Amino acid sequence: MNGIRKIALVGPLALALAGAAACGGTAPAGGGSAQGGIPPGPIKIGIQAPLTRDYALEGQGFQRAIQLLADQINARGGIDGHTIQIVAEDDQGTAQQAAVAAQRLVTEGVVAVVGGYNSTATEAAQPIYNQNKVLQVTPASTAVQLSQKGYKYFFRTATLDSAQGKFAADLMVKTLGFRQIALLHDNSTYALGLAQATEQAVKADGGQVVFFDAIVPGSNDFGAVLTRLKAKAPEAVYFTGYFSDAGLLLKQSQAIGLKTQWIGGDANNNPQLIQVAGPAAEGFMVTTPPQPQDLKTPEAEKFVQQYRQKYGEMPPSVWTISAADAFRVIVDAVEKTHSTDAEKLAAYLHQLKDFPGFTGPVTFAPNGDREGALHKAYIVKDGQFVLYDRQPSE
Amino acid sequence: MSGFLELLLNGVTLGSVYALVALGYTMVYGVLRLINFAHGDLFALGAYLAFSFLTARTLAGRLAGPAGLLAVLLLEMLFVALAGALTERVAYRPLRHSSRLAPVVSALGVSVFLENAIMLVYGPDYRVFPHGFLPQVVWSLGAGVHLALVQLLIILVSLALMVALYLFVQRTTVGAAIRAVALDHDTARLMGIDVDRIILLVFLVGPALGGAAGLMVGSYYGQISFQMGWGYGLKAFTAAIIGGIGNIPGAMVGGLLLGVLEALGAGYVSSAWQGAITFLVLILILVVRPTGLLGERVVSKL
Amino acid sequence: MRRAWAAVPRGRLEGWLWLPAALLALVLPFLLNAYWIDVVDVFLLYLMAAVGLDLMVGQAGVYNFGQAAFYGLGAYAAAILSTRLGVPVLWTVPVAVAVAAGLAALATWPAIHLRGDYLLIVTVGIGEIFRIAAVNNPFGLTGGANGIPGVPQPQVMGRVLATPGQYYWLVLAGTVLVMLFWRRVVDSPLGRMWRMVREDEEAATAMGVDPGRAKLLAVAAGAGVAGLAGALFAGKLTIVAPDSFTFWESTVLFAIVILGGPGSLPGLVVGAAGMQILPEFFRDFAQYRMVVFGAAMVVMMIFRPQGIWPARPWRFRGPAAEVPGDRRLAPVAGAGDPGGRRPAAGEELLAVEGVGKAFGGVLAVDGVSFRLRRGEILGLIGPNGAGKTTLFNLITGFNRPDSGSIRLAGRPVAGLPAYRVAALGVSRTFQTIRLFPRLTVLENVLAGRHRFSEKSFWRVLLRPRRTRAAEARQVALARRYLALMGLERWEEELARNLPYGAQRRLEIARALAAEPALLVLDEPAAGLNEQESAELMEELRQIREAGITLILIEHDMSVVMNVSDRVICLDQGRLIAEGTPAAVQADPRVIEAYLGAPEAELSGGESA
Repeated sequence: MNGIRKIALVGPLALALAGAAACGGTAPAGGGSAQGGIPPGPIKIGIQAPLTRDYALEGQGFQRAIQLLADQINARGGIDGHTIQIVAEDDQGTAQQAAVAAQRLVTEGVVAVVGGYNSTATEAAQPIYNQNKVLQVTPASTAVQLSQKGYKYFFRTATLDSAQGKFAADLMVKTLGFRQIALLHDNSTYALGLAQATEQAVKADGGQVVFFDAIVPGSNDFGAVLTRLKAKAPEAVYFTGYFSDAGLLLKQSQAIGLKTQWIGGDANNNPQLIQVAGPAAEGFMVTTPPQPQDLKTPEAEKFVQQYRQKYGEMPPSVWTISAADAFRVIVDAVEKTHSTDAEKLAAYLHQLKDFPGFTGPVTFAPNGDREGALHKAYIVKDGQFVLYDRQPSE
Repeated sequence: MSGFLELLLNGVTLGSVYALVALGYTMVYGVLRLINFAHGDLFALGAYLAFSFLTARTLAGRLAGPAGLLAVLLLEMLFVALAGALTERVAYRPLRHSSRLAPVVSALGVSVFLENAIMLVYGPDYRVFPHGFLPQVVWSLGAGVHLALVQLLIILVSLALMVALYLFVQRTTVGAAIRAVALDHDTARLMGIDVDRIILLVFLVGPALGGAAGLMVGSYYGQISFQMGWGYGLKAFTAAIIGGIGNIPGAMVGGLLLGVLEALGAGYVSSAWQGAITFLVLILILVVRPTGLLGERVVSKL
Repeated sequence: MRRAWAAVPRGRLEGWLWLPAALLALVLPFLLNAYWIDVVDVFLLYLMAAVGLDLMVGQAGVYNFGQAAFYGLGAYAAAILSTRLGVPVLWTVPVAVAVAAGLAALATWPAIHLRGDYLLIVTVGIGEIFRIAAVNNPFGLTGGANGIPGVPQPQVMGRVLATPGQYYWLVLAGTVLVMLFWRRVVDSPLGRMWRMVREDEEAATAMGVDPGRAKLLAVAAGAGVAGLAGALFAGKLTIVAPDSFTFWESTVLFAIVILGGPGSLPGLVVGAAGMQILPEFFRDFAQYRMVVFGAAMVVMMIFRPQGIWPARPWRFRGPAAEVPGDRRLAPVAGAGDPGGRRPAAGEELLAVEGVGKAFGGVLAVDGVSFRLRRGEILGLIGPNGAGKTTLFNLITGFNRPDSGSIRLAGRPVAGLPAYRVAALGVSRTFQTIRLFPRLTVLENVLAGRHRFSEKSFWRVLLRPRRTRAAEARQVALARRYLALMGLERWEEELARNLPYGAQRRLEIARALAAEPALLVLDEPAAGLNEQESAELMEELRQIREAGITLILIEHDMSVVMNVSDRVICLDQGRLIAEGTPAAVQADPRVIEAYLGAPEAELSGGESA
């Protein structure tokens, strides 16, 4: 529809990325002939994500971010003369649909897949990619067990529940000196997993979990749970669910006069939250990977800006950015190895050090997990998320 | 105690919304013995249409204040009513004389269609409902209990709509025709009632009420999502059953009861188990009163 | 087009359908790529769960919108056993089946007496409670929202079933097993019992069926089948999580049954294909897929409202047994007698003592007493609203008397549920005909023989020679009752298609087929023309000759006066006359009741 405008917009970044590729030491050859280990024809990269039903927001975010990047790469001539073709399959966020979607991507001949979104869908697809030697990079599945099964081609740009849980516990107990902690999740795979990981870490840090319960996401009315929360008088509440509920939580919490430090997990780092909560958002903290605007890298800033220009809104969540990173490391691996062989791609990713991701430097552990302390604490000041001045120490 | 009253008030507000949506289920059930699974999505459509009217550039500014809001409400109800009538014509009328379960599946199809159509038009993310068209007034009722203007409006408007509907059905000739059709299509036809037109009317009125509830949910909570129809729809259908499906005052009682029950369940037991508690109570009520609180003891003709 | 289709004898066509289907199933994995085989695997899993659901929806009329929960129970049982205790997945299957069947029956039990849509919402509730419980990880069993990962892939003869192609054979075997089970049960007296309950609960009760137990059995059987599918699901996907068993999955399963045609095995296959394979063709639409799919559901339903491949009526297959005896109504009374022996005529069979019943303050039956000897025909008359049908309902257990006692062959029966009374040998017809409209004429009469039919689930399943012989004998006997009432030419017709008079006779044939000690007929001549009335009287005399004791309500005085040995008259709930037909007819109180009644009613109506 607006392809021309789109290409015009992505020009600068395409140049930057082309420059990066040139630094790798190989000049892209002209024409469509096969180069190195890449078989003729387009390079197919798959997306396995919930495009419909409950998590459609996230899945469509993946698709948009990746399509945007792919168009940029294709506009500058693709990789070694091969264009990138995105194949998106809907897994509806369930195990049974994920298996079918994965199987379909494999038969479509994709070389790598970004996905899935929820851990259950990712898990159901894992053996299929592994058997068929397809690289899998999940941008959002945070369940610890995913990397415990020895799958060679599995990576994630998402951080683990356990890492963020530890960070949040350290922030609340050690840095802020709170002892009475409340944990609130929304029963989604991700939020519950994070809440459970945080519970363990809080106990390990010597804190006390005085409240552990879920809200019903999208139910809009949290008066009941907040009233109960108030009775427990926690010093801090860590909410692991989504910004879409957090805005209302803050608003309604203030309305009933609940005085406590609200802290949100990384799905809460979204300006829309402040829009919904208004003044009640003031002083709200989040634990999150540093956001694009805080990385201050030109690529990251540009990406968010382009996303906004093309789709008319901000990326829906941190996972969208993470999906972009997943795609970018795959592209980087293909470019550097001149190959689409999963063996070579995986070997490349394993030795990758500090790839400049939008979400921060990307380095993978031997089991495919993302390495390094990623999280930072942010606080809302004057209607803006700003870096908090006291960060938990390593 | 103040906690209890606060919960009660929240429950009544939410319950009025459930009751309004439940009326659509119960009226359709009354005349067709059909569980209109698409009704929840018509409710969501109402919320989104109201969102469109309130954010439309040409209308912005002219809709401030209660009068503007009322105009949006009426306009949006009209559109949802038309959508409801359209579903009846397209998806249910051709199945009028087939087995009872065929239209149920057709309704499921309409529901899937509507929900995803909303997603395609408005996007899969939450929409922040425009606020500021209502003054942000909150009254303190003492003892830590607060009542917001929007809450009061929801309760009052729901009540007004319900009373109007009740009087319409009980006191007017058209209402009598609706009741006659609910009792027996053939007999109603013999009495000279145009059964098809009455059913169409029900499919205008029920969705219109659901559409009104959509606007209320949007303005009360400040955000809407394309899936809200499925969740609220199931709750409202449950409310209709609790009250005794096919029974108009029953839907109102069931809606309020369910709203209060949910608030208290989440407030005193656990909100993670809230849905489970609700359904457990529903089952208990039905075990004691097999046709709901106000349901007639008639054998359903299946 | 449609006509040509109808011209093919569908029964014969379906009888041979399994052959090409089996061939297709055998070659399929060699024709498809891994993706399509995987689609077929998932399709078969859903098909299995839908076959189970059909036992509830299509057979017993239990509208279950929570089948995903029962499917999930099986999956969780398999996942927990295999990950915690290291039990191989295939060995967990019996446990998964038992857990799903047992918990489903337990959860449904308190609500099983609810009617149609009320039971429906309860099943929705059960499904939601299950899902919410699984998410909340009770006792650390279900792993919460993340579910239980790492379910080992099943091994068969030392080979791990890792690819969709390998797994195909396992799910195919499961599907075939489940279909054979479905067929066996649906063709059996148990299946008939379910269909009776589906068609008319009251009438089924009058044949001695306990509708609650029947429906619970259907729920348990259907959930057990879903449990099997669930265990195979766990082994295939290696992860079991709540997201897979939502209300949406339940509605998909329900739609499969209705879309394909409830009660039809090929229908279920087509329905599952419509719900599981068709959406795969819409994949290229990405996020537009579900819009297209929703519209497709509506279109398919409108195109074939009765289901794409509707069920055909049950038909007896196999040789009918030879039954000794002639075509007349054999002196069968006593075979099913509560005393269990051939009693002497003239002995007291029924003793009603001071029975009363009030509805909302109005005394419908007020202190009525009478006795009935074996072999007697008793006419019960009285003006409209005198309480005749209520009295019948009290005797047959459909209503519970407020006061008084009722004894059948010396045994107190007041307050017993109707199906127990029926099982004691009391058989009835209804004032408004209550046949099983969508069952064949033969099956209606077989329904009457429910007392003598096989009720053991295991014998139905294993179907030993003795059970098979008994079934053939029941059919032969049923045909005899049809012949007796002159209905044999309608045998394979659906009951609802019969002309009115034939429907009346069929209801009597069904009641007679129960070999009752006491037959209770509510206005058997209502709506019959003169000739039909005359035929009826002839048939009633034959019934008496056979030694069956009979009470009848009748407004047609010629019938009452001609066949009754004795007549009693009710007025406003009270017994006002008793004696020979001639004596009662001449009784001034009776005349007054009949003449006075319309006036009284009229004045009552005006004052109200």
